[in-house]
Amino acid sequence: MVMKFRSVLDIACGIRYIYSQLDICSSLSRAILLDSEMSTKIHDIEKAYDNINEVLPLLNKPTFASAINLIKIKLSELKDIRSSVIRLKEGAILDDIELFEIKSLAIINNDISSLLSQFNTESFKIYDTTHVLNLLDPDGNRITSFYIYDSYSPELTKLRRDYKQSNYQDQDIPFEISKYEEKIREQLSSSLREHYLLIDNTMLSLALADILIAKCLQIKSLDLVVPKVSLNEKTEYRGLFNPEIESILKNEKREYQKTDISFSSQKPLLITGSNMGGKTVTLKTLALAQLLFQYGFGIPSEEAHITPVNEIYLSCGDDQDYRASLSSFAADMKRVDKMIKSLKRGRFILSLTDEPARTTNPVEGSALAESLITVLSKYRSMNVLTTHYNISNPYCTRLRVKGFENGKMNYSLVEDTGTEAPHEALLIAESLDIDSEWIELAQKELNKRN
Amino acid sequence: MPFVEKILSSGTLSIVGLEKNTGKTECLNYILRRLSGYPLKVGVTSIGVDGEKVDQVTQSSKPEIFLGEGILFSTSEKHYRERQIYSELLNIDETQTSLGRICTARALGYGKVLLSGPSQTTSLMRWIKKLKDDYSTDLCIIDGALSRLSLASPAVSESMILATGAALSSNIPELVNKTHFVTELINIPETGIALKFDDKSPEKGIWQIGKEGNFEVPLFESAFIHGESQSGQIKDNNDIKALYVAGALTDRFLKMISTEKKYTHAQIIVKDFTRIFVTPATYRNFIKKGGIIRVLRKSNLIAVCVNPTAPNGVILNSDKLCGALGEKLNLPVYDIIKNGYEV
Repeated sequence: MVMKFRSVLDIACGIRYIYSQLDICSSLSRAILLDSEMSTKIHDIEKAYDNINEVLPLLNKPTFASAINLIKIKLSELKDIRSSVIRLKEGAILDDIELFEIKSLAIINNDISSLLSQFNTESFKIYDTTHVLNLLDPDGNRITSFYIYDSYSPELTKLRRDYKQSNYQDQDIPFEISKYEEKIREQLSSSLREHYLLIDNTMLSLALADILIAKCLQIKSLDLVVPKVSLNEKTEYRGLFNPEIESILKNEKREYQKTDISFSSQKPLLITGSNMGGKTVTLKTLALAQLLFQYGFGIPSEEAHITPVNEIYLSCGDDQDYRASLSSFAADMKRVDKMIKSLKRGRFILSLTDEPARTTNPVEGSALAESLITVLSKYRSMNVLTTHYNISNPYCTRLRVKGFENGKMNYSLVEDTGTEAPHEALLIAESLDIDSEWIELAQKELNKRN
Repeated sequence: MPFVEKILSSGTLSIVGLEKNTGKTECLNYILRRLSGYPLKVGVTSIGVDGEKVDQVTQSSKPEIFLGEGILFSTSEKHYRERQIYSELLNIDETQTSLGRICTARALGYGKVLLSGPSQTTSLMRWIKKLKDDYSTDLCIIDGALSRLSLASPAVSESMILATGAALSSNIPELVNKTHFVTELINIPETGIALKFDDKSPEKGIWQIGKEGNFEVPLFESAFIHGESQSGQIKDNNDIKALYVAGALTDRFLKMISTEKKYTHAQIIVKDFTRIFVTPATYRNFIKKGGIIRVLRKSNLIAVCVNPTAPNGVILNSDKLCGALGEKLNLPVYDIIKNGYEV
């Protein structure tokens, strides 16, 4: 299954926020980023981060930072001329507009390569387009403008002069002129055709440079880190956070409590804890970090070792779909089923499941959750689940949200040995100012049962 | 030669017609011809399609736009490809129109071109800024399309030329009346009240203006809203100095306030004449009752051009028409085709 960046933007984990904060200069680069595929190979991911690791320290140099500003201005003029390049390749005669666009591309590339030449970096692939530029700029003005210049043909110069001298009255001359102009366009197109691959590569490399710069600047602005690729199938985060939620909290003058978490392909990880303890946010942030990792972005944590996977499954929240006549229970089950099928096909996946089978009665629900852990533990994959049920399954590691401490929520995760899920729902409801009569009756009911 | 000197002092000029086939293009060609004698950098575009050989609606023949050496022009990709002029392509704008992106070029010889520029007022304003900033153009001319008046708003262009003619009406008195009403609106004086605009200034609704020119309370959320005004909010019931109409001034609203006593002494302030959408009868009735309408910015109407020929074959007497219009409008009126006004 090929996952394009475009398709993961709708996963509700905060990735759209990261994308919206990415300062990409040209629409071409944006299109190329959206069409980029998720890397699943260690080598590809490492290479992407090697480039970032090379550029990132350079950004602290004032000379490089000011060069980057100029480069970004140039990149904002980059246009998507892929269709013109295809036409060129297929043997079409380009018109003035298309020739103008190729010339603009060559000028932008020329300017950017001369800006980058003083810094010895391999991360930016630069092609030499001087030859293309010379074809389209015979007078060597190096200005972004184009017409069929007089210097292409002395005959054309003469005809144009004659036409002007006739005070634009001689109506035979324009036809002659257009014949010459067309001939020159044909010659230019056939000379450019030899370089179509170069033109295509130049466009792509400029777009990739745009994306790389944007990613590096984002790492600095959102305080992200460059992760390490984990080779032992163990994913570990120190100080993991969700940038979107962090920014919302910041606006409310509150602070985000970062979490440490690690899990491996050995055993599924089960997170328990009270309501409002940030379990769902943790799952979503894990999905976010994994996606960012496989598309080569900075990771929102203080330190990260991440294992690449083939597929990522996040099943979170209640997305019952009345159009597909699925109840919330059915939608939930279908999603988990899809994940299991993928596991059985032998895919190495990251599954992040928020409270499996929670929408049914606790007796059957806990049986379903318990057995899901057993199923997951049979296959080699990375699994994280959360639950409110009491689960005694021995095939998983357990973490618990610390929960309410002195009237405040402590979101940090601690190792848990018990099998009992914490009972803090009434305490939390009270802190939410829920109707006291209701809560008091619930407390009495609870006492009766105990 | 008439009115060209007046154009020289303004940085942007729009040519708007009260109807199709009122001679905008002839007028533009005349101005371009006349301007070639001055050391002026001129840029020209059109809002929508213009300069086509055959009228797309009535299928009657239309003049083409002729450009001389040095004039900058902007047109869509489609029409740039079809141009019959020797020109240097300078820029291609990213914004899409129905005929492709907008190309800006400099004429290197004499020739003709179809103009089809930006289709929205905001992109038109961006075009003007680009031409002024990047190519230091002295005068930007915008050719209007159909009967769109919005580009004549002083927010877009400093001065305007109004084209009218037999296409609007084949009856001279009616034609004069219709044209007169528009010039009346164009010539509404600017308000003497200094309104205090800041970041929070209203962008819609009708507002009561306080003594110091501040925005007090909205009387209506929108001019189109039905029902009662929020008169509970009005301060100093007896002395409403002015009302500011942030959006369109409609017939409905004008009729309503002309019946309410407490508003009769209030000055109605609109942004500019293009925001007034009232019938001549309602407008004149309101003025007669002592109502006052003022604008924030007044347009500079340079001249009125007439085309006595209508696409349906009606040809009016040019001298009689110019005379009748000139007398009523108190403005210079020209029939450019008949009188030639050659350089």
